[in-house]
Amino acid sequence: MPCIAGLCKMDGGAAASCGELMKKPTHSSTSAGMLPDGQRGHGPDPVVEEAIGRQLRKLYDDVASEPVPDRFAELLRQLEQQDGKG
Amino acid sequence: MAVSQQLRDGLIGNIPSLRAFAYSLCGNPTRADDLVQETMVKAWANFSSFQEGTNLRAWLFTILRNEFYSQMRKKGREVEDADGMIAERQAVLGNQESHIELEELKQALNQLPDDQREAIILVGASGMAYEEAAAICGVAVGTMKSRVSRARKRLAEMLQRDEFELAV
Repeated sequence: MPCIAGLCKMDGGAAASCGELMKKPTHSSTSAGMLPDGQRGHGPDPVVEEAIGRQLRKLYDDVASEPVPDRFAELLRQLEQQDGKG
Repeated sequence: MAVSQQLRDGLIGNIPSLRAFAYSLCGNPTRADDLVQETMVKAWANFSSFQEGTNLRAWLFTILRNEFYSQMRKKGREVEDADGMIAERQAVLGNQESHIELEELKQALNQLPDDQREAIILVGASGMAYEEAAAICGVAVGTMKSRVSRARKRLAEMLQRDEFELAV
C-alpha cells in the first residue's frame, strides 16, 4: 500500500514505523506538535532543558532566599511616617 | 489614606520575590534593589487602587515590571549590563563550574527578546502559573505559553551551542 504521508521514502526504519502511523485515524495526530519533545528530531535536548530549568530556578531562588536588606525596613518606616504626617 | 496592616504585611512578605524577580530581569543586584524600592514607593502611594482580596503579588510584580521597562526606555540596558557582565565574568573565572553556568544563563537571558525573557523568568524561574504570569504581562494565557515555549527553545539553542564551543 502506498504511504500517502510520503514517510516511506525516508529509510527502512521510517518505512517500518509508517505501518504504525497508518493505523491511526488521521495523519494530523502525528504532527511534530503532538509528540513529546524527546521524540522530535530537532527539539531541544531534554538534558539541556532540564539543566536550564534548574539554573533558572537557582538564579531566582538564590536571591529570594537572601535576608531582606535593611534599606527596605528603613524605607517602610519612612513611608509610614509620611502617612502619619499626611 | 492609611495603609492597612494586612497590606503592609503583604508588601513585606513579597519583598524577597520582588528582589528575585528584579534581579532576574536586570541582572544587576544594586539596580534590582533600586527597582524594588521604586516598586514599594509606588505601591504604597497607590494602595487605594488595590482591591483587597485580589492577588497582591501579581499587582506588585506588575508595578515592578512597568517600572523596569520605563527605566529601560529612559536609561537603556545594553551598555550598563555589558560592563556589569564583563566584571562579573572576570570575578567568576576559576570558580566552580555551576557559577559559570549561571553566568552563561544570565548572558543568554539577556539576549532574549523582552517578552520572552519576562515570560521564562515568571514561569520557569519563579514557578508562577501561566495564568498569573499572563495577568502580570497583560496578555492571554495562550500567548504566555507560547512565549515561554519559545524562550525555552531559544535558551537551549544558545546554551547547547556554548557547550559545543567549549568542548572543541
